[in-house]
Amino acid sequence: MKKITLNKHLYRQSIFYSIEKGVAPEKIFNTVNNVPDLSDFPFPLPCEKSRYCCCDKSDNGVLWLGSDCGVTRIDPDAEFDFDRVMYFSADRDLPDNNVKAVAADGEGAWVLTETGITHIEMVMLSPEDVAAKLLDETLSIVERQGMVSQRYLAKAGELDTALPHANSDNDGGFTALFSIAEIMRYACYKKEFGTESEKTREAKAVAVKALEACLLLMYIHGRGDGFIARTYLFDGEPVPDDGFFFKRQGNKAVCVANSESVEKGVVGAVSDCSAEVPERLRYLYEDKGKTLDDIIYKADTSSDEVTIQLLNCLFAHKYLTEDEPELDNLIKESVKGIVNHIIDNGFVLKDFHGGPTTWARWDNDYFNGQVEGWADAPLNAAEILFYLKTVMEITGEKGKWLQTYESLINEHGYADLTEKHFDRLYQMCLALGVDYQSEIMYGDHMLATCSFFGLCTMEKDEKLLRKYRKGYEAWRSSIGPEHNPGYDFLYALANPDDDIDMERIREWFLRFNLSRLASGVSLIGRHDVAVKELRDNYNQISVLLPPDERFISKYDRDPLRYTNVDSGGNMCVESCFVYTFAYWIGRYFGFIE
Amino acid sequence: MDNKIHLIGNAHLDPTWLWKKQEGCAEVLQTFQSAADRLKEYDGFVFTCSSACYYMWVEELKPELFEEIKKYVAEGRWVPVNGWWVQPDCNMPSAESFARQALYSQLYYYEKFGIICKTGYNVDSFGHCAMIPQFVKKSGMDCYVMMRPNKNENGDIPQGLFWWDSPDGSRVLVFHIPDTYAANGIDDINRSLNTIRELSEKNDCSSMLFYGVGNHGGGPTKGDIEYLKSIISKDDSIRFSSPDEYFREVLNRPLDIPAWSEEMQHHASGCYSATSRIKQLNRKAENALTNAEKWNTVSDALGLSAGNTAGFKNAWLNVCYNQFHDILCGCSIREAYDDAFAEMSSATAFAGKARTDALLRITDKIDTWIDGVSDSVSFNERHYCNNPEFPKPVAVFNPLSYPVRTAVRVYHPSRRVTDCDGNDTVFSNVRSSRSNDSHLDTVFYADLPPLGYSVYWLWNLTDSDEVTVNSSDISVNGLTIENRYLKVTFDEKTGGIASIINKADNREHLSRVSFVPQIIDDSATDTWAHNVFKFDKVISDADLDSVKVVERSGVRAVVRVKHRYKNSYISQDYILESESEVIRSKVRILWQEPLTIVKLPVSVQGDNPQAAYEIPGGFIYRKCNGYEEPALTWADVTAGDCGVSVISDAKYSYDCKGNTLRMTAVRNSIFADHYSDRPDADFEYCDEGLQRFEYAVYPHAGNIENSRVQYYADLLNNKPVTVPAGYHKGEFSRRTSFIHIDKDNIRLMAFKKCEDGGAGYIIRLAETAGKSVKVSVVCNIINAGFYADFRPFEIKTFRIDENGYALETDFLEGTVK
Repeated sequence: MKKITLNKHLYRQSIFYSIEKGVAPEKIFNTVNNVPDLSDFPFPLPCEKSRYCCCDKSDNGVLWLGSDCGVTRIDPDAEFDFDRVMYFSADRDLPDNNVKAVAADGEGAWVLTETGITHIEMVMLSPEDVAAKLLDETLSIVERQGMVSQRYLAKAGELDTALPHANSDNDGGFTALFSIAEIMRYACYKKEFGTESEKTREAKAVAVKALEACLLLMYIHGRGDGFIARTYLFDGEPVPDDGFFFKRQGNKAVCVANSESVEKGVVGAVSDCSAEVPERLRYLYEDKGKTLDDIIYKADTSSDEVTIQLLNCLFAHKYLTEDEPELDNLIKESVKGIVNHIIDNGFVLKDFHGGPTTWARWDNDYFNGQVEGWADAPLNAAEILFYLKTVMEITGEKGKWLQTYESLINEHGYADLTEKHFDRLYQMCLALGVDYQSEIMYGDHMLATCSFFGLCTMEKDEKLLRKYRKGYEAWRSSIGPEHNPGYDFLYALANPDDDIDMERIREWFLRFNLSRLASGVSLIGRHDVAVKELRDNYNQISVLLPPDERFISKYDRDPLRYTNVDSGGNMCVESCFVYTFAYWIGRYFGFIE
Repeated sequence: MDNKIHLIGNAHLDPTWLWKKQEGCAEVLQTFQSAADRLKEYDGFVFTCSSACYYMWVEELKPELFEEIKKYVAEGRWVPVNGWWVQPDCNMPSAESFARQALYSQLYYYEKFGIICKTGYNVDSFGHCAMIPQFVKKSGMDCYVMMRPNKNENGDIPQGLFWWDSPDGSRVLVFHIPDTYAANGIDDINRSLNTIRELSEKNDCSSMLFYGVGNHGGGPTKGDIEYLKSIISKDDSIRFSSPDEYFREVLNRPLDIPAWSEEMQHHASGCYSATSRIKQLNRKAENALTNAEKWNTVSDALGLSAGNTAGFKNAWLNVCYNQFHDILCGCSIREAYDDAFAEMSSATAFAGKARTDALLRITDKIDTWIDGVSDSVSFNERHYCNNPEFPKPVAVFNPLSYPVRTAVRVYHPSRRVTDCDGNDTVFSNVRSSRSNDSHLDTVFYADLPPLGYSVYWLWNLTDSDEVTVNSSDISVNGLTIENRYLKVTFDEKTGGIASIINKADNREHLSRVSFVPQIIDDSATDTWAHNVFKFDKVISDADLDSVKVVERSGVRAVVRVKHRYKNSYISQDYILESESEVIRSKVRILWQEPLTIVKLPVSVQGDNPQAAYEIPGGFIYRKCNGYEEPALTWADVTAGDCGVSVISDAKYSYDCKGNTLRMTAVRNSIFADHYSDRPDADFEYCDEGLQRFEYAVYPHAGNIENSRVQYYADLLNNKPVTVPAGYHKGEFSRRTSFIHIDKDNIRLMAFKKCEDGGAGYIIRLAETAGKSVKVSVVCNIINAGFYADFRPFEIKTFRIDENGYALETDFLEGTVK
C-alpha cells in the first residue's frame, strides 16, 4: 500500500477589513510599483503578466504580487510544486480583485484592494488540526439534531448570519458520510489512545449522535415498513419548494403544499405514521422540546440515501458498536427493515402512493424500460447486491438474503450488469450527441464508491470479486481525475493492485480550505488554466486545481467545471465531511502517516 | 431484436499500389463520375467514399463533377468517411502524422461540404495500433470501420460491433467487417449477405454489408444495385445506407457488445520492414517537418518572419499521402516509389529550407559581438572568422522540449571549445568525412536548453597550436570501451558485443554475444508475408571481416566492425560518447541477397522477459513469442529489472522471443510479390543496394516506464543543429529556451500557427511514460503559461490566443464549430 506523510503545512485564511487607517501597516498606503521582470518566469501565472501592478517580498523570499485580477504568491523555495505559485482571488480570499497594494507580513500579507483591506494569514497547521477546525465549524454552525449537510446564510460569506433553521432537503446521505468520518475518527483514536482517553470518548459521542440521527430517518416517518425519510423539519420552519413533505399528526401524515406537491397533485395525500420511533432515538427531537406532531418529514427518497446509509451502518457495526450492543442491535433491525422493504416491494422503495419513489428502483422492469433505467442499471444492480451483502455481514444471517443475492446474480444477471456502467453511459452520450464529461452524474461517484467498495471487500467468491472489481474500474475514468482521497482510498482498499496518485492526494489535503463557507473564487479568466469547451456550453478546465483555488461544494459536483461558484450558490456553509471522511479513512487504513 | 442490414455502396480505391499515382488519380475521377451517375439513376442509392485526397483531386481536375458531389453530400446520399487524407498504415506514422491526417482532411471537408466526417474508415489498412481510438476521437469522429486482421489471423478480436478503448481512455464504436469491403456480382453479394446475416443473428445486432468493385476503384455497378433493389423489395430489414446511418441506428438501441482494449494485429507482418527506404524517408520527413515548424513558429513569435502554415500543409500532405498503407508498407510496385521517394524528399527539402531560414534569422539576433573583432584586416580573418585571436561563435539549437546534453559536430577542427559563459567544454578533433584540407571536424559536448539554443565558441586550430585536452570519462582497453555509465566489450571472434555493464546497477546486461548480423531465409513468403508471422529460418550469422578501435578521444571512442555475407557487407561504427547512457551504431549496409532478411539480435540477462515497443503516441507490451511486430523508434526487452532498448532512426520492425530482441534491418523481398509463381525474370528487390541508418543500444535498470528510453529515442531522431554565426550585436542572449515543461514524460509534439490563419498558436503535448501527470507549460514568447492534467499516453492540443490564454481543443484546432 502506498502511503504519504502529511506534515504541518501553511493553510490560507483571509480576514477582511474596511479601508481605514490603523487597520493595516502604514506602508500599504504608500506602496510603489516595483513589480520584477516576469518575462522569463518559468511557471504559469494566474494573471497576465502585464496586469501585475504591485509587489512585496517577505523576509523568507516569498513574493506577493498584486494585480487587477487578484494576488499571486510565489515561493521559489516551496517544498512542493503545488505550493510554488498560489492564487488568491475574490470572493473567498479578497473582497474584490482590483489590488492596489500588497505588504508582506510574516508568512502572510496585507492587501489593499478597491473596496477593502484583507489580511491573508498563512496558518501552520497539521492536517489533523484542519480536520478539527472544520469539525468545530460544522458542529457549531451546520449541525441540527445530529444531522449535517449544509446551513443557509442570510448574507453571503458571513458565517454569523447562519439561519436558525436549515432547509436542506437531503440530510440523510450527507449525514451518513459525516457519520462514517466520525466513526473512523473514533476508531483511529481508539487504536492510538485507547477507549478511555478523552479524545476517544469525545469522538465516540459525536459519532454516535450522527449515527443515531441517520437511524432516526428510518423511523421518523412512522410507516413501520423500513422506508427511509430524506430529512425532517420542525413545524414552523420553512418547507422547501421541491420534494414531498408530510406533516405528522397523530397516526396520519399529510402531504403539505409546495410547488412540487401542487404540480403533482398530491397535496393532502395521507400516509400512515402509527409505528413507534425507538426510544433511544427520540432525544434528537425531544431535547429540542418537540414531539412527533411537530415533525414534517420528506419522502420520495432516492437510492442515494439508502446506499450511503447502509455503508454507514456497515462502518458503525464494524468500528463503533463493539461495546454498544443496544445500538448494534438497532443497526441490525434497521438494516433488515430497509432491505426487507426493498425485497418485499419488488426491488423498489415504495412510497405513500403505493408505487416506487422517483429514483429508488432496482427492479428489472426499470432496468429494461426507460433510457434512464437502462443507463442506471449497472450502478443500481451493484447497489442492491451491496445491500444484500451488507445485511448478511451485519446480521450474520444468510437465508432470505443469500437466496435473493444468488437469485439476482444467477437468474437476473445483476453481477454481470455491474460491469456495464461506462458502456451504457458512453453509448447514451454518443446517441444523444453530447459530451461524456458533461453527462457524468458526479453524485453517483459516491454511490458507486460505497457499493463497489462494499462488494469488493465483502465478496469472497473469486469470480464475483473479479466482476465487481471490473465494475468498479468502469467508474475510474470519471472518478480518477477528481483525485479525491475519499474515493481513492476506498478504491485502493478494494483494488489493492491498482495505483492511486498519492502526490495529488497530498496536494488535496495540504491545500484544503479552513472553512466550508461556500464563497466563490475567480476561476473564469484565469490565465494559467486552459479551458475545454464542451457542447451545450458546458466548459471544463484542463487541470484539477487545489481545493483552495476552486469553488466549495459537496462530493457531488464536477471539480473541473469552469465556474466561479457552485451551482448551489454561495448563501450557505457546507459541512466538513468532504475532508474528514477522506482524512480519517486514510489515517485509519494507513494511507496517511 | 429487429436487426437491419445496411448496404454500404463503396469503391475501395488504392491510389497507388500495383499502379502508379497517376493511374490511381485517373481511377478516382472515373469512379467518382460513375458513382454520381448511379446516384442520378437510382433513388435511394447511397455512396460512401473515404480519403480527402480523392475529393481534392476531383475538385481540381473535374470541378463540375465536384459541384455535383457537393449536392449529393448535402442530401446525405454521398457520404464522405474517414476524416484522414488517405487510408494510412495505422502502425508506422507518428502520432503527429495522424494529427495532420485529420487536420488537413477534416478542415477540407468542413470548408467544401460544411461537415466533417464522423466515421473513421480504414478497411484495408493491415493492422491498427492501440492508440487509434484516441486519434479517431481527436479527429472529431466517434466510430470506426476496419477489416484486417480477419478472424483467421486473430480470432480474439470481436467480429462485427464492439467498443474499442485506447490507454488514454478514448473510446470508439467499431464495426469489424467480417468478410470483404468489396462484394460485387450476385454470387459474391449472396455469399456476403449470408455471412452478414449470420453475424447479425449471432451478435443480435444490425450489421453492414460492403459492396462495390474495389481496390482499383469502380464502385457499385448497375447490376449490383439492381440486384440489391430486388432483395430490398422482398426484405424490409435490408436498406441502402452509409456507415454514419448504421452507427446512428445501433446507438439508439440498447447495445450489449464486447469492449476491446488492445491493438489489432497481425495481417501483413512483413510490411513493417519491406522497402526500407520509404520508411526511412517517412521518419525523416516527419521529424524534419515537426522540427522545422517549431523553429518557423518561434521565428514568427519573435517577429522575425511570418509563420508558413500553407507551406507546411503542402509538405505534410506529401507525407500524409505516402503514408497510404500500400506505399508506406513497402508493397507497391517499384515504379510507384519513384513518385513516393520524390514526394517524401520534397517534404524534407521544404522542411530543411524552412528550418535553415528560421535558425539563421534567430541566430542573426544573438549577441555574438566581441570587442576588437572588427579590427581584423585580412579578408580571410574577417569573412571566415579565421582570426586566431577570436573564437568562432556557433549557435547550437535543440528542437526537443527536454534539456539535452550531447555531442555535436562542426566541420572544422578547433584547439579549444568554450560555452556561452566562457567555460571550457569537452571536445575532440575527429576524422571528417572529407579528404580535403585538415581531414578533421570538431565534436564537442553541448548542454542545450529545451526548444532553445546555446552559443559555443570554437577557437581556431593552426599548425602551431597545442590542442587543449580536457579530461573526460572515456577510456579504451583493447576491445573494451567505457564511460561513466557503460562498459562495452566487443567479441573479437564474432564482432558482436560480448558484454555491456551498466554502471548504474553494475550488472552485466547481456546473456550472450549480441548484434552479430543474422541472415534469415525469406524465400517462402511474399512481400506482405501473408500468413507468416515469424521470421525464424536462420541461415547463418554474417562472417566477421574485422573489428578494431578506430577512434579514442575525450568525447568518444569508436569501434568499427565489418561483417560480410556472400556479396554483401555490413559495416558498423559503434560510438560511445562521453556521459552518454547509450552506445550508438552508424550502420552502412550494401545488400544484394534476394529473399533474405538481416536481423540484429540482442539477448538480455534475467528471467521473465517482457517486450515493449513504441507505437504512435505511446508504447505497448507484447508477448515474447517471436512474432514480427511493428514499432516506431524503439523496442525493448526487460527481464526482471535488467533491460536493453534498441532505438533506431529508420526501422519499424522487430521480434522478441524469450530474452532475445531482434531488429529487422533488411528485408529484401520482390516488389509487390503476392505469392506469385515468380516466373523466371530478373526481379528487382525492395531492399537491394546501399542503406545507411543509425541505431542505439540503451541498457537500463528497472522497468521501461521509469527509463529514459524516450529521451534517447527522441535525441537520436532529432539531433541538435549547429549554426555557425557571424559576429554581431543582437538583442538575444547567448542561451535561451523558448518553452518550459516541468515533467520529462511530456513531449512537445507540435508548435505551430493555427491553421485557420488566426493570430493564435498551437501547442500539442503528449504523455510518453504511460503515467497520469500534472504538468506546467510556459512559452513566454507567446505569453502563454498554463497547467494541464494528462492521462497515460494522452495527447492534448492547446490553442493559444493573442493574449496567451489557452483553449484545450483537438487535432482540428477549434476551427470546426
